Amino acid sequence: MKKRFISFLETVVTLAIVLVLLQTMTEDILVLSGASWTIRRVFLFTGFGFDLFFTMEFLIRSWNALYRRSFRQYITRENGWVDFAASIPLLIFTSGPALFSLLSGAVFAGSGALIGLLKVVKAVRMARVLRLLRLLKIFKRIRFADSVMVQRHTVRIVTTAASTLIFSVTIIGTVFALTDYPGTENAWMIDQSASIASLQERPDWAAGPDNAEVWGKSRPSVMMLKDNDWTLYARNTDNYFAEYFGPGDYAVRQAGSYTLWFDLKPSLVSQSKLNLTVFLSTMAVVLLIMVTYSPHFAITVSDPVNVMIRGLKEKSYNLEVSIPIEYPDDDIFRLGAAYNDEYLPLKERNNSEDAGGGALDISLDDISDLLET
Amino acid sequence: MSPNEVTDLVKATLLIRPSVQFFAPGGQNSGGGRNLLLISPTFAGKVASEAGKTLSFMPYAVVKAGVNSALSFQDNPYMESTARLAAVFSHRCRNMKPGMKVDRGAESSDKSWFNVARKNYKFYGFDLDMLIELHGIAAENGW
Repeated sequence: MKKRFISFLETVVTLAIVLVLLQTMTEDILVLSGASWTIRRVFLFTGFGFDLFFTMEFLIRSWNALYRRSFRQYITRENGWVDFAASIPLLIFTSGPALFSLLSGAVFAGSGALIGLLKVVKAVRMARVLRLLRLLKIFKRIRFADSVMVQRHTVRIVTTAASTLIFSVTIIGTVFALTDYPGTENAWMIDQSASIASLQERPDWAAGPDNAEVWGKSRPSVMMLKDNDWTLYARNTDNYFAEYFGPGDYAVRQAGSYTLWFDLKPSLVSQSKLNLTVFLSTMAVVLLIMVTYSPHFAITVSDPVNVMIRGLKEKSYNLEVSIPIEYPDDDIFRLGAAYNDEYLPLKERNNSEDAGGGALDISLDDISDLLET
Repeated sequence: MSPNEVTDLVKATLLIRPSVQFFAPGGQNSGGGRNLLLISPTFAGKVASEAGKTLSFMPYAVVKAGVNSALSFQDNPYMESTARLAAVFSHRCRNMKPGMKVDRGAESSDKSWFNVARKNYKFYGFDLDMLIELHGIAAENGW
């Protein structure tokens, strides 16, 4: 009963992993496609739900491991580090703040250094890439090879390759996000800073709706400009903003008596592109290793070993190890050649002597159908 | 001779081959051991003569070839080709498992057996050239 319950829970976790991977990918696709905030908001909730679920899973597994005094084994050998990296940091830095921002209606607002804030936001969003680590957990649970050795080696290689890719992207992406490098996204941020600076230095440039319209259209990152509560310029209608923009999609800044709404979506799109690139690259690496390396390992390592094991264990098993012409010098095939050339002939002779009178060891039953043509 | 006739000839030779057992000292219960794997030409001549009388309905050449299949080819290089073939096939039949599933990473059953037999040809008194040819045929056909 207990085993069935645990098995049921493991199935639920596996299903949740599949769903969260689909959720992560769909969320990024929605950002790229410019989907409405109503739809994206649903994914924000589900993303938080999944992160909370996996955090609970990690805590329960950790507690269980501590209770069994095998926490170190859980973290190092049973992919506990994946459970940790793909749960708590995401809940604290990504989905948690996003949900808080949504519930409190908070936006990126204030009068501090805009670029610094945007860099931090971008760096925090990089953590979403860590969600892909869950792919490793589901991969470990798929039984894709007959041989335990093939399965273990392939899982080890996939884990190494995919986690290296994911962590590298996260760390390098964070470093790049926090440093200044010229690029499209930086130009967008610079445009926002320049907008604030221009209004602080020359408030008359946006004085009145006509001037504000001209000024606003020359600043692609500006969504809306207000002088106190008077809207001087709006790139789109209020309904459009309500439909397509949510907290996190824009930033509000003060410049003297003016209030500026900046569009942050290009940064989101850029991040989603990177996430999708990493996600698809990781999937491609995993699939390629499964499709190409796993059979290669089976052919060049485990299959010859299994043939030799059967030959050593079973008296009547006398099939030779097939030695590919490409790898005759591989250690395993040198062993296979020795098995073919030395062991099997000796075994055959030994069996023949044990059986007694090889040439005469035929009964009438063996040849009863010989003359039937 | 047609292929079918050759096949029947080899089958008849194989059928006669165990007759050596009936003339061996102790008969069928003579015990195991390498001594009975191969017989001497003198003994083969006597067995062929006696078997020929008993199996008078069969051509003597066929009976003689069946008995001679228990000779070593190394010591008797002029023995009949049907006898040599019968010796190889007789041993092959002992190890044969019809419908045997060949594991991944293993050679096919016949190819494996003929290759092992090539290494043991002196022990069993096989014709090495014939084994090489049979191994090649098995390899070509994936047997």
